[in-house]
Amino acid sequence: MTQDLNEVRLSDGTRISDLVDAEKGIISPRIFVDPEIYQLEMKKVFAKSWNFVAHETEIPNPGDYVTRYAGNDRVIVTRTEDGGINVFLNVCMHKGMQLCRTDCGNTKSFTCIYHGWNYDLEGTVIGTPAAKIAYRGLFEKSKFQLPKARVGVYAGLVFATFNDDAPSLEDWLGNAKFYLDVYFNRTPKGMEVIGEPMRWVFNANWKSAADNFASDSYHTLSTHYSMVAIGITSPDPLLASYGVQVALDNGHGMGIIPSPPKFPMGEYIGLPQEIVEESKKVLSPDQLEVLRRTNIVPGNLFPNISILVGYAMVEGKPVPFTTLRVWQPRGPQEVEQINWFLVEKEAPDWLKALSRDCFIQTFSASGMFEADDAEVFTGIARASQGVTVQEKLKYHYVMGLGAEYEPVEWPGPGKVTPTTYSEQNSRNFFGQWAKMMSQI
Amino acid sequence: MSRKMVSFNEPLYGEVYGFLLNEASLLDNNQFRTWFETCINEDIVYTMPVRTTRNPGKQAHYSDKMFFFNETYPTLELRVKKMETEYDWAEDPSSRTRRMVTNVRVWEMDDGNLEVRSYMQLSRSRLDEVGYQFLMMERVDILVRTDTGLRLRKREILVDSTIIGMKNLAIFL
Repeated sequence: MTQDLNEVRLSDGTRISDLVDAEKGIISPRIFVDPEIYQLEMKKVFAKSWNFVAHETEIPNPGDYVTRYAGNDRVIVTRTEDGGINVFLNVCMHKGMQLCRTDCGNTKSFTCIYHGWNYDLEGTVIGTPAAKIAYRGLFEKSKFQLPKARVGVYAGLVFATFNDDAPSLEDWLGNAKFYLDVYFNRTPKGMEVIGEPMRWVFNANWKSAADNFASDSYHTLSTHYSMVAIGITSPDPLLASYGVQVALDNGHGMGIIPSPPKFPMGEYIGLPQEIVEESKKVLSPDQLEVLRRTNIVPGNLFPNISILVGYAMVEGKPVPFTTLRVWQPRGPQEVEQINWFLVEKEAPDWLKALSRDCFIQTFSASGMFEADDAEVFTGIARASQGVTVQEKLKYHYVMGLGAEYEPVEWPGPGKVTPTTYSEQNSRNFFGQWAKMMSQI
Repeated sequence: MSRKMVSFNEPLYGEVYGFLLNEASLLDNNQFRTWFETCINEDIVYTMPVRTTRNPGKQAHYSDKMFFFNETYPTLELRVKKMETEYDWAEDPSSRTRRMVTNVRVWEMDDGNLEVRSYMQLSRSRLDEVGYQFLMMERVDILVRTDTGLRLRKREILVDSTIIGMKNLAIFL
């Protein structure tokens, strides 16, 4: 590593490069625990990145809104009359009162309860009670426009950033777009979110969860062994290792796991043929081939937007489901998980309901897979606290380093490892993290 | 369908309250299989809708589309099976839970079933945590009389949180 005198240092002089060697996969426990690093992340990572704030189907009609987070800023996401989407800070420009206190709804405007200031769906002040009199004619409404984020929509996913220097969303997503097409926008009408996202809180560092989805298929047969024991997955002990791990631009990463060879569970995630036919109208031949080879996709868009495409066996048939989750940081060891379920708009009602229920049983707050992951992430938080752990120990994300692989033909982009038993994507994730954290 | 409130001093009220307390005790003592086999009816619908803060603000808003639980007999049994494996890491070691069931009101329906509303305060502590996490809720149940006693035909769990303050819901409510 070059000695960069312009590198960010913590208050004790430690550099980020002392804590993370992403190429070698050597990571200090301190990054999962330290409050100073957490505060720095808010500025260097979240405020600089594109943050997922909503799916466009959550705000279909003019006046629809949801209140979300972009990094650790509270924002309002609105749909305007012209069909556009706006994201602006959820704070009154007068004295800082939270402008909108509801989670979602439909409105023509937002009124601050403190002094009655009224804002339209673009965060522009349109009404201020008695302002002429109160301010003795010296009040200029136009000065109080709420800061608006840059908004980008891809594959139905709405992203926002207040970083004017961030690349375009398309450039930020980079080659992840290929996979977002396949897993979130594969039919002419696209996917829709069903219901409201579920939300819950656990005591862990957001990076433990993001890294798990970016890179960790190796844990499946251990953490989730109960799923094998009750017979809802294939009995192949290497079932989660097949397929590829693809390291993508800007720290994004996914694993694409097919049917295990000895127990074929079907192609195209077990989607019904009518949906597969719809996909053929939208996807490129390479994308269709990737979809064909897919059973399960864990993945993560940097920094904290994870995806899971999976299936559950119901009466001997696979029922596919798609979930997207944000690991919303609330502290160095506190995460709010915001969890969405999506399904193709074209799917028949019975499949939408069944897919949703399979998701609830496996990857909701009560999900039989999800619950065991929370036990692990919180355990990492507990175990990483001590002075000696942080000063003398390093964690090892070295799987696949120096390994030789048979070349594999893979029709999608990214740096391909021909097994999902790899920590390539961890090194990619932490590499991006370290790069952003180190920048002055 | 009309219903008639069961008065607090009627024997039936005590029978229903006893069912709820017995159920709470089974679950607090990790007797999931017994709970499933003795308390749950085969046509069970067990739901816990997601709650949001919306206008009108004085109304409770529960989703009709997304749920923390949306279970039937086979899926509840699958969950019990998971808890019976040696690999139920989320609950092994087990949480220490305490289900306080109060404010029970009972109505007899025209069809002979019983509508039961109860408040529950669940406290939960795991491993070496100091203190407890809490979940407060109202449950709206339909109980049916069978030859093996009262059983749960329907439960809707109306939780008091829009963000659940627990690491998971690997427990029955």
